[in-house]
Amino acid sequence: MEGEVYVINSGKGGVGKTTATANVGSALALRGHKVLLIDADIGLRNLDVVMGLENRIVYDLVQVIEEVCQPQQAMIRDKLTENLFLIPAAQTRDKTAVTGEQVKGLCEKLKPDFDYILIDSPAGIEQGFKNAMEAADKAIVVTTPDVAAIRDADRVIGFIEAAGLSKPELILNRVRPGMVRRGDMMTTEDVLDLLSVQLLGLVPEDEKMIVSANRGIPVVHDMKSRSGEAFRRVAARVEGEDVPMLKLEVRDGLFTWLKKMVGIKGAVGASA
Amino acid sequence: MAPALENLRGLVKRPPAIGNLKGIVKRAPSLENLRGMVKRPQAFDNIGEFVKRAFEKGEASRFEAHRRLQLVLLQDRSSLTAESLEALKNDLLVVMAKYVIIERDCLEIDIKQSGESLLLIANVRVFNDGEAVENPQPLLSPKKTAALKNSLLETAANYLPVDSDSIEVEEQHFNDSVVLVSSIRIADGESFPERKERTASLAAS
Ligand SMILES: Nc1ncnc2c1ncn2[C@@H]1O[C@H](COP(=O)(O)OP(=O)(O)O)[C@@H](O)[C@H]1O
Ligand SMILES: [Mg+2]
Repeated sequence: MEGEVYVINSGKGGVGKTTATANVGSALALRGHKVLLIDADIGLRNLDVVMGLENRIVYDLVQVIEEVCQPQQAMIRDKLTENLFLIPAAQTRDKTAVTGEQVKGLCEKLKPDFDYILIDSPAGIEQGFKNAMEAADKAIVVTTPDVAAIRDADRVIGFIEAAGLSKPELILNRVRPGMVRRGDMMTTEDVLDLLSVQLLGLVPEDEKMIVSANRGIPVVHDMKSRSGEAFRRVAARVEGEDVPMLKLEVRDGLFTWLKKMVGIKGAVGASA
Repeated sequence: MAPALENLRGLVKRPPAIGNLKGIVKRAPSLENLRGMVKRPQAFDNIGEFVKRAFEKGEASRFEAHRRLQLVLLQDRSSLTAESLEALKNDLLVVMAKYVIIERDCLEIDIKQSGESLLLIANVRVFNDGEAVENPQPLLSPKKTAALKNSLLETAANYLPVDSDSIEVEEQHFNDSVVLVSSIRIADGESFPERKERTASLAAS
């Protein structure tokens, strides 16, 4: 069976596209699939360092497209997971170096060899974003629960639907249950109501994410981390499994205890 | 081509809306309330009062974000200014009021991408005396419905490039009220960004 091509985008930068690509890809590979990651953020190469593969780069995406090398020569094998490969972005070129047609052509050519191809899209709604979108069958939109990121996500969702891809699914990243509980962060329901999309995953804000990036080891390899668990569940859902959303709970702190003591009602659920 | 009612139902996630409509009315805190919540750094009588204040203040920020985004996304999707949107909403309300008795402040408009079309969706809660009915009768005759559709289209066309044969109006009957769900397709066969540019220039002219 042919593999599926997913594009991961967000509109706004820094919300977790690269993190999501690395983790969902690793989790799918850990589940036994053959997975290819393509870093389409040309000029701002990132996925290689997040995966800890920066020292193994020989060729890049632009060289593959320009037929300087075979796609297989540019694929870096992951150091932790079998069946996981990365085609890194070019660092010295800009987004005009490739066209959507070319990226699509490459994916079509590689589809038979992989179960999943994940494309890490650049931020924005410019050429680089369009290239990545053109090559994909399905889209995952990553956002954080803040006004700017959601506004940009809505724009991107509009483009994706207009391009004829199926309705994108959402990963809501960097959720802080304590803030949700206090009413200082929009709930999952708020976000889904605004964007009218399906939820693919709920990922908490997690310090382990930074540690994992420092080490170049995706957080899904840390079996104790909450964010890793969240991404493992995303991978299961991508496969079509029906797993419950991660419950994001805060332990009762002094504040909550006080609130209960004085009997204030209408607490905002943090299980969002 | 008009979007099938089936589709519409999926789209209009909000209108099993009664609950939501209520929620929206409740959610939008009046300026009065907001002021009360946000300032006043005076000493509190007791810790309970303090916790309560802090909590209410927090609540306001999440609701505020949601409310502001609702409006911003509507503007982004339609490229209409806040004033034009407000005017469109008022005009639609005036039209509907000629056909049904509507509850005050309960018109919700939304603009949504459905596949490759962009839809203007207007939901309004129709006043009802609250009697639960076993087999609800349609509020409007087919003739009236057709007339309402025409008027809605004409109104919307003052603001957006609407597709003239793409309007759907559906009555959704609930225990204590009826929601009138209307959807109109905006423009035709254009992709989202191009259409946006067009509606933007339309709004500017
Ligand atoms: N759930 C999270 N908790 C903590 N930090 C996160 C989380 N998700 C992402 N980050 C951090 O945010 C930063 C930006 O993430 P990245 O994936 O590079 O975003 P993008 O690719 O969308 O620009 C990185 O430093 C990353 O480690
Ligand atoms: Mg990135």
